[in-house]
Amino acid sequence: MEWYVTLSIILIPLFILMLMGLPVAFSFLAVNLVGSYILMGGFSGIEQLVLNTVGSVTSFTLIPIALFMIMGEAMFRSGIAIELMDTLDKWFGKVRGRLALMAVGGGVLFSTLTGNSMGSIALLGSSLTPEMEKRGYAKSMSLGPILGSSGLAIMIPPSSLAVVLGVIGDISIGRILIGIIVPGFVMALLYVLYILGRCHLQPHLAPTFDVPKVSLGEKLLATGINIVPLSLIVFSVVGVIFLGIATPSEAAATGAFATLLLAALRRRLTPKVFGETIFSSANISVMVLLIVSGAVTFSQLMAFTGATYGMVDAVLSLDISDHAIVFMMIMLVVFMGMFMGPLPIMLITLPIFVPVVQQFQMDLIWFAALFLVAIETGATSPPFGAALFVMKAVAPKGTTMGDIYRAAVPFILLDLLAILLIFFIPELVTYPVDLMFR
Amino acid sequence: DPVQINAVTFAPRQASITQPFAQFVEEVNEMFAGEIEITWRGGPEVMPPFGQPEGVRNGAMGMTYTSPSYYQGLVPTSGTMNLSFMNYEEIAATDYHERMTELHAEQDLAFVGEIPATQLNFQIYMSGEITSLADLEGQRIRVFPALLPLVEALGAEPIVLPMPEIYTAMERGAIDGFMQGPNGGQAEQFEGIVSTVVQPGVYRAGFPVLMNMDLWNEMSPDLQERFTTFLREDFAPRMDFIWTEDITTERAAQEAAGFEFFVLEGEDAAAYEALAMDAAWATVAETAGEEIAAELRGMLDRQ
Amino acid sequence: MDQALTRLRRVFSALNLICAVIGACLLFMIASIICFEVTMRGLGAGSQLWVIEASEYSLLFITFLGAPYLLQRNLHVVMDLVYASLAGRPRVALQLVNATIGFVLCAVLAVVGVSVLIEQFELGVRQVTVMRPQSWWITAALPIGMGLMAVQFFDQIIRTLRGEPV
Ligand code: NA
Ligand code: NA
Repeated sequence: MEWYVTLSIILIPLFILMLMGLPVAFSFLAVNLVGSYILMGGFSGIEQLVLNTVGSVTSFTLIPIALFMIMGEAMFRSGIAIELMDTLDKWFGKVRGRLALMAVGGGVLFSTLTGNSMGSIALLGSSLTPEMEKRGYAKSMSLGPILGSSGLAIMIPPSSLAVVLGVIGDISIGRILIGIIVPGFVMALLYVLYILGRCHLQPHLAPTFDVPKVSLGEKLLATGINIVPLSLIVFSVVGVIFLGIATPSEAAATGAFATLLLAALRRRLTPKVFGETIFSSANISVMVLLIVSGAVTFSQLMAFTGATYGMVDAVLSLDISDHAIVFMMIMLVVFMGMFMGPLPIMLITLPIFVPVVQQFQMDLIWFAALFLVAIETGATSPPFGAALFVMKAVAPKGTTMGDIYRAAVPFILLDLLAILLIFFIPELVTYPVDLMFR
Repeated sequence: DPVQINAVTFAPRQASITQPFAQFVEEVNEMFAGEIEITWRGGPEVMPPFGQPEGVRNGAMGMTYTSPSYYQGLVPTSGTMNLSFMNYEEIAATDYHERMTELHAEQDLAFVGEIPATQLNFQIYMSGEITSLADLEGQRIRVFPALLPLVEALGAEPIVLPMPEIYTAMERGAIDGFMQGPNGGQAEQFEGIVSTVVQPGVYRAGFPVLMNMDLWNEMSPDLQERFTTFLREDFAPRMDFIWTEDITTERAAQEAAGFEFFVLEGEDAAAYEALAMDAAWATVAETAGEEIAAELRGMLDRQ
Repeated sequence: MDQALTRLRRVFSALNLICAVIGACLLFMIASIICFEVTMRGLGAGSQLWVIEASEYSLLFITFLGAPYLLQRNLHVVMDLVYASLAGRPRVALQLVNATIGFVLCAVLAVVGVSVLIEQFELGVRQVTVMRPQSWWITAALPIGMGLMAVQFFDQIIRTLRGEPV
């Protein structure tokens, strides 16, 4: 069977089930169940589905998602997030889109954590979006910047996906980590320019505040009380990794504890707040993890059919220039990201792509950077990009999938723009690498 | 009609470690045309590596090319396939493979044979300078569970860590080293991070080829016999020493990347090897039973 | 009849809630043991090899123990593009179809899950890890969650057929 026929046979029912309103996680499960039954020997296939589903959640790499959820919920429920925004309003009340810009800043800051964009969305989505909406931000300006900048998690070291890429593709991990920094900041810059521009053209998307005149002393005091202590949280997440005290996944736990501790120090962590924080972060983790497990096993099914390999072959056999082939490879990665997780995509494509890129005598680090941007673009792309479902889980009640799709689109276009920039200006990647590893 | 076999491997297609299996599939499909047809579905992207042997047992997959340490939970003696300093022909001369066939059958798995790689043993990669085995004491070394007994016996501190975190943990000093084979592209991946490699490598590598029992029984006894003989007596011996060039290339790359090599010699090497074996066999005795451990060790220890 | 149904519903809501609370406790436990591990290691004490593994298993149980409660509260992520805009009969019809698919799905997975568990128990299969627990302990998470969710979907079918709000 042609790969696109197989692909349609699997993707179309998935889409229909989701549109029918069957919860996303169960839509994946339904397709997985039928697919395993047909493809993997009937009853044995379902037995294997049970094992694979169990295995997909039993994964240490998913733990930061749940732990960041605690951080986000604790910041939100204890009022730490609100005070942070109040203080920013005191300083920058008249700057349009300041909270959206802060979301990008937060994305950059937490990107110094492990390369898991879902963790970033979990954290920023649950702590920032409710209050942003209260302050009159349109969904496109509250959800969008978070979705966009969450992907920076894998672009700025440490980045577990960059390491996995290095291991699977047999490419220097150190060079990749240096190579992706500038592209990561280019993306952040594009987001910032877009937010400033859009807020300038459509001021109603991000209202300013006529903050009553506040004295400098008052501003500094608010900063001292509300922002400086946050450095404890930042240290407990970022600092511990840099000092070699904790691994990236562990840092999510120290961060969660530091946030709870800060809330307690400010006497905001009543038993009620504590209970609500843990219970609701557990609930959101469940929503996300159930979808992740369905999506992981779905990717496995997809790989089993060979449709994904067919796609890869189709791209490689195109009768176009070497550069165009590499560009198509990157676009294929974006496309696959819409319905598959990063790891299976890497396992399927890298062993085939890397030798081809080498054969074309192109820079592997440059290719790796493009690959990672493509992965994160796919993860935020409708209809099935996993990041979008995570956002749905953490976003305030009443946020529809349509809102999320609309908010995501501009940032996907910016990511594609970033891909083009990196593609045509390889120096963005190669210059810093040459500088570091002369 | 040929017996249709869906196969899955513990490493991705095109990974160097799965190339012998690619060749195996090709040769089998040609030599047994009309009798056996293997379709290689892929690697970990199709089925999680640690779940593959169970997938073959329950019939979701027909065949797997896997690592012996991945299914010790299902066949407690499987890990012994690593525990020797002999090469394939020497091991094949004993009853080891026949005994493994029986032990696998007890758990409803058909053990077709192994694709050996005697040269792919495990070395210790350390971020700091090492000038004696005593230097390893108290050092934090990332292992997967099969190597845990050795690291403990060395007086080092074993750490269990997901693979993607090794690099950052090494770079930031959360761990001091890790154990891997001699040809995993470490020079490329860990340049500037690894400083010393402890040699000689210990244990041996051999990758079992397992089949689903029902599918196995679909073959006639004659076909089973010819298939097993092909793998064990024709194919496997040819594969045992194909890694020389890979290892030499990687070794040169590691030297170029500034790795130092701390090589144990003479009595020290012998003591280290004995330590590695004793520690590992003690664990096998614990998990699989003393009697069977002693029996298998009798076949695998250097005579 | 109605009374029995109400009582049954109460029993299962209580069960779902208890499971969800256990899940939440497990989540807090993960954060605690990892922090404990980091602190102890930072202080120079040895590494606790079971921490990673225990966290992984906990994550699994959090997921499958918490899912039934979320289903009962209709909190699972739904693609609302079409569904939300429907009303009246089409919506009721879809509700019925979804609940039926969900019920069959969860029931099948619960049953197969139990059969996998029994097989693992009989063969004595263990996880290939440091702690080497019997695999059936781990697998058990899935049929528990799926079983409770099958009940929940079945209740959705009943509610839809009786015209009660879902
Ligand atoms: Na990062
Ligand atoms: Na993005």
